[in-house]
Amino acid sequence: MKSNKNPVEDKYGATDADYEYSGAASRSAWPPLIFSGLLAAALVAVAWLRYDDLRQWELTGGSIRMYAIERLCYELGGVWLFPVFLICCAVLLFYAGIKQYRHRRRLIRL
Amino acid sequence: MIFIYQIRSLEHKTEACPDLICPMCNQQGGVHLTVRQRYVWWIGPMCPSGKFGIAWCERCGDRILGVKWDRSLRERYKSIRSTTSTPLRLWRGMIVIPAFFLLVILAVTYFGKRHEAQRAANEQQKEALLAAPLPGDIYRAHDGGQMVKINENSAAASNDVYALYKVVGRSGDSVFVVAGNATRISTAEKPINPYTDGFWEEIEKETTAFNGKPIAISHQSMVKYGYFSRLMKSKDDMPGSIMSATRNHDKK
Repeated sequence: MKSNKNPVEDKYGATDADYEYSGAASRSAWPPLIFSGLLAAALVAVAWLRYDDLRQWELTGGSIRMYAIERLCYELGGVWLFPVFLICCAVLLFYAGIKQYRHRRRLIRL
Repeated sequence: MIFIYQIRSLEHKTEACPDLICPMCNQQGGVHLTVRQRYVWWIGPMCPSGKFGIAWCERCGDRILGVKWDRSLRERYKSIRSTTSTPLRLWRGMIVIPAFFLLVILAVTYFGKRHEAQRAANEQQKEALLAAPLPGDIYRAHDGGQMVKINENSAAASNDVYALYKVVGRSGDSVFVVAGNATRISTAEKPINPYTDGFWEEIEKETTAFNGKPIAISHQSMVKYGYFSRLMKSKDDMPGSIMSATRNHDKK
């Protein structure tokens, strides 16, 4: 049996993870796309909610709790930057999901 | 904080499946199936994941892609997997490591509380002895020394004498004490830290006699503030303090 340590691609363009079977989800191309899509949607929702909170806070004043990265984004680029950062993460995540979906589709067709 | 950990994998069982056909090369007789399980290793094994299977064929020499597993291979995997169970030792880290940290926390809390109780008892004893000084009481004290100006904005104590002081009498607000012959003198250039281990024990060991000349200390400031202040102050005299008091008249 070959080594399972290095995630390098073989002659099929598959990595070690592609040879593992852990259940029905291992046989389908859809799960990575669905999970990444759900996570991306959650990130977009968080981005919208935070944008809304920050906009309301700017209009009405008072105090608001922010994580360090959110505060840094706010100080650098205002209300927009943190939601844009989250949306970029969502896009990258969804792109990774699409890539994995295509990869599995290709393996299924072999 | 950086955690260095490993993801390791445990091989539960490997079986040859000569009756199965390899979905990659469509040949029978070479399929092998193994059931494995990953876990985190940090000081000990912990957090075992779900099990997974890897199949390979000795005829074509390839592993079988997860997306290519056919019904017979899946059913064989399920039947092999059902005969395996996660060994308890893979959970060891989850029990041993938190138990270790819990033990450390409990030990620190216990010794901290014991130290605090000891300190409070000492303080109570000191207050009781200072409230009613009797001849023969011994104080571990320093007399505060004199204030010396270092520059425009700062000053420090100099000639601050750390010694054992023995009570020899009391009259009104005056408590008369005599200093032991073993002393440590703290200066602005070379300050003394009386909290180092064995500091007072050394002075006690070296003290063989007490001076004859009594010093009058204000009892009121001693009780009220814990000060060790001369009643007849000289210019620039600083208040000293009594670190602890003992009443063991046979000792010295």
